[in-house]
Amino acid sequence: MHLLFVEQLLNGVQLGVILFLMAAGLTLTFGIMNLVNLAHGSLFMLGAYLGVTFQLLTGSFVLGFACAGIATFLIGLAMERLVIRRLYARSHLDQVMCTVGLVYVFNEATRMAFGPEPLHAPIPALLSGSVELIPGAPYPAYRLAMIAAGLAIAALLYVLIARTRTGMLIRAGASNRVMTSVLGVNIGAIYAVVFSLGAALAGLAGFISAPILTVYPGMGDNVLILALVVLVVGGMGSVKGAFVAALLVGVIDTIGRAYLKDLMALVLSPVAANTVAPALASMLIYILMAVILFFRPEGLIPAAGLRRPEAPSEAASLGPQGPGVLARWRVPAIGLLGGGFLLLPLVAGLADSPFWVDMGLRVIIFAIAALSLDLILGQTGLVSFGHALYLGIGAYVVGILADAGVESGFVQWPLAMAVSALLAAALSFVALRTSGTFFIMITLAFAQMMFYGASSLYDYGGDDGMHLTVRSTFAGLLDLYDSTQFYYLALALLVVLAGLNMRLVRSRFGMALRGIRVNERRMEAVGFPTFRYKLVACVISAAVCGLAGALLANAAEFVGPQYMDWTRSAELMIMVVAGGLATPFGAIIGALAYLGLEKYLSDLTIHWRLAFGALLILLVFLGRGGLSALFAPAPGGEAVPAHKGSFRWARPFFRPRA
Amino acid sequence: MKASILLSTALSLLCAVPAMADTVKVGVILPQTGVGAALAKQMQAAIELAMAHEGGKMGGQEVEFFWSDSQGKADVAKQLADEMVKSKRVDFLVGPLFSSEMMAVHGGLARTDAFVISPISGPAPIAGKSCSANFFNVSSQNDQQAEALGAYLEKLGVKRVYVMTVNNQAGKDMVSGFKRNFKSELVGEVYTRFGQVDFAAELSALRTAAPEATFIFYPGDMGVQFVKQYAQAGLTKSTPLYTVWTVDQATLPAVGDDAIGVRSGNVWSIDLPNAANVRFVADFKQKNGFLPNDYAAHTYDSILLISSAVKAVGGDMSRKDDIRKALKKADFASNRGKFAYNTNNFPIEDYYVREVVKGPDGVLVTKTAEKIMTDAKDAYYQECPLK
Repeated sequence: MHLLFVEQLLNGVQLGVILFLMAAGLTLTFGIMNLVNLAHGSLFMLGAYLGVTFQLLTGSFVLGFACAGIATFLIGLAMERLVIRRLYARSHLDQVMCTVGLVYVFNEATRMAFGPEPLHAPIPALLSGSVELIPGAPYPAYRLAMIAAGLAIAALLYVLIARTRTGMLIRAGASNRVMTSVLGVNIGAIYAVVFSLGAALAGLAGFISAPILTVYPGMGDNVLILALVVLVVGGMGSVKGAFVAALLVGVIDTIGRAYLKDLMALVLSPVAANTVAPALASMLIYILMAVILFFRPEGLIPAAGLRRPEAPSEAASLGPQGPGVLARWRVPAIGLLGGGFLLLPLVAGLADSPFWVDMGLRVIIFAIAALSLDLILGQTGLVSFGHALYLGIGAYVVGILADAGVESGFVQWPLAMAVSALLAAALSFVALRTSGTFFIMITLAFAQMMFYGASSLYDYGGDDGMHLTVRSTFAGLLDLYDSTQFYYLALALLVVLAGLNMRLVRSRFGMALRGIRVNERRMEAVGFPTFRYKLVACVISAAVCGLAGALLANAAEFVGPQYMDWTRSAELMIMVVAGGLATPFGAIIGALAYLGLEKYLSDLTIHWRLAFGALLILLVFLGRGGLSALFAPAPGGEAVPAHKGSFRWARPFFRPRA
Repeated sequence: MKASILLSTALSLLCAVPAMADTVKVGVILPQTGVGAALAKQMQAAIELAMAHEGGKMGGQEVEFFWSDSQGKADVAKQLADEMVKSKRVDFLVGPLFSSEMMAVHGGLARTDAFVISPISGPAPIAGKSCSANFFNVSSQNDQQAEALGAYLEKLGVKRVYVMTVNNQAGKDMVSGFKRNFKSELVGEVYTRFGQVDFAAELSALRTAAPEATFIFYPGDMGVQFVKQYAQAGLTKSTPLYTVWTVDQATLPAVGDDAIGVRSGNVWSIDLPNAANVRFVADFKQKNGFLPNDYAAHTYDSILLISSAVKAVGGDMSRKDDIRKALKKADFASNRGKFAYNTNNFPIEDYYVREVVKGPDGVLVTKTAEKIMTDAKDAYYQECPLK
């Protein structure tokens, strides 16, 4: 037994070492440039692809290793010069959107260049056997070599940062960028070096994990999420923290998978242990993260002396200044949109294309989800990167209830909203203790946690998800199998929710949310319990999204963990931003544009994500305010009542200062 | 610019191509991107070869194919299938590949009159209680290849078997199939996440359990990595590996010599001596430059099956009942030598165990070792109300 334990411990350390290589680059860029770079996983993938290709070409593992490092260093340099440096001054939301765009581009470009079939990396002959580290427990030599290589790179990194002049400049730039550049140091060059260094570390990590993982387009995305957990646990900007956290996460994850079942069998019945343990094991590191963040919101070992500049408020990217180019078409456009939604089933019937109704239904459901996200993202300025979580929860509540024989929508749907709201209350209670980048990471990690949790629900389909055998019933009032009835039900819900959203935004509560977005500290100083306001906003938003999930489960007749996938969260975010933040019109038009474009492009080519990613990057740089900005009324036009409201709201609080 | 894209989207929706009356429309849903991409490539090549063998037509009719990419995701597959049936009005739907996708697609399609030809996936519910007159499986019910291996290991007198599979519908079907004929207690039963490719922790546990044999179900790359890591951990010699849907001609080049000696349960093998198979294998290799695997073989049969039904009705796609009868008759030259349908539209066929060996030219091939079951029927057909 203890031999096995040593073996599992080594497995954990090996995972930890890889995670450290990934997290080191991330933590440096976060800490020094205050940059959220979700494209870091793509560098992991590129390192693996380029290194392995070169290795297969030359037959030398060492040359492949060198190629992976050098190539990703250069790619990192090019990325920094061309795109990333333009993001330093942008909001975190812009950074997330742009780097997600880069992920799409890199993944699809890789698929086009190398084909969809995975690449298999050979293990060098020298390391292909196994070593008896302890007698009786052979351990694969390659994995030992991975641990050694990872530790060696970590040591080199330590020497570089702590003992060399370049390292000193990096540290100086991190602790005070303005002062460093005043002293004549080229801070831009330092940023470029740090970013490329991080890229090379990710590339090397990708290459050395290639033989034990499959090299395929998108392979870096899962590693990225784990690396983000490491980052949050360790403390952002701290290399030492990343090292400790990486080993901790690696070991806990591996040991949890191996032993949790046996441990739980001691207290629970074997059947219960079999059900609960795998779910808990895959959620373990996320729970660990939540616990650590609850007690130490800055992470285990926060970087000392870091004075990060306040990220530009999300408000900066909000609201068009002048009238949109198409401002005069605003009323006709809204009329067209409304009329289009209203008449769609009729038109589809005339054109004999019932599929349009399904498509329209899908747009409406995602519009509801986007609308709910907009309440926290657009109105409150909380960049939640895990909102699809509640889409999944809503869907699972319907699925599980239907499986248990409860088929009434009158029970299912409110319960879906209630469960989402309760979960949101618990998760946001932890998540809202953090802010900025931490908040993005932790919402992402919570969504991943529930994703893995749902994947372990063996009785409800596990990874596969499950087929919804019966759509919700409404005591004979409505038949969801009639696609027209279902469509109009969803449309009515959307209209009601959009109306409620507009009322909410103009209420005192909504004003307070906007105030938090613009300047939370001031709101707090003025006496608003901002934490409670944000919590309530998150709960409302989750409840609405849960309803969207209930609708989605019925529309797709399917419930599965993929509803909670982080790409789904990114999609929701893209819809909101592309449509325009802080307006219900934006969320609706964003959902329509996103799904329409996806359908259109994916019919053209299977490589549609390349164009999609490029559009996303362009949107960040050119498309300020999103689609709805095109139709924005002139200042002094319709938007005035909201401003009036805000003055009315502001007066009693600000008068004493005058 | 975005507005123009939106507009063009709207326009392209409005100008959807009007349906042509006299072509046979076949929709194909495959996981062209994602975990199943390599399998999809085999299947696509097989469809193209089958059409070439049929002279590009079915029963004298032009054939129009609609291809789409499910990404291996059940909800995407469901959406695509609805579109195929409701909007593109396909007569036959080939795919989707994975059982999870098939389960998501099946309920909705059973309410339409489209014929679903499942080249691979045969989930237990569709073979039994929720069987449907318009659903035809071409490979086997999910449990069955595992049943064959269970019977084989029972016959060999092996007592201690460790089972590892993907945690999904197909995985569970495989395990229940295996247990049906294998009577001893399993020493380990491990389910891993779909897409997991690093099995270090699980293999360490496996070694400690010291089984006599290991049975796995890991399609595609998961299997490639598993077999390699199994060999690296030094287990191949001490504990023979038995697989279903894992080690085949498509994955062998990637696994390499680590796969030698691995045995699997199948209904088809590259060396089956019937004429249809010899022609299929030779032409497939010549056309594509790589050897076909089971996925390709069964997809090839799927197209021949459709073609036989279209021929039987003289290309008149409105005669749904006659098409259904013709599909059930399955009058085509299968590369399995013989092919017949049971009442639930799942095949009655023979099961073999095959072994990976190094051919005389140094190429790894699967060689049929033994026939395990003859004219076997699946375990669920009596639950199916179809006659």
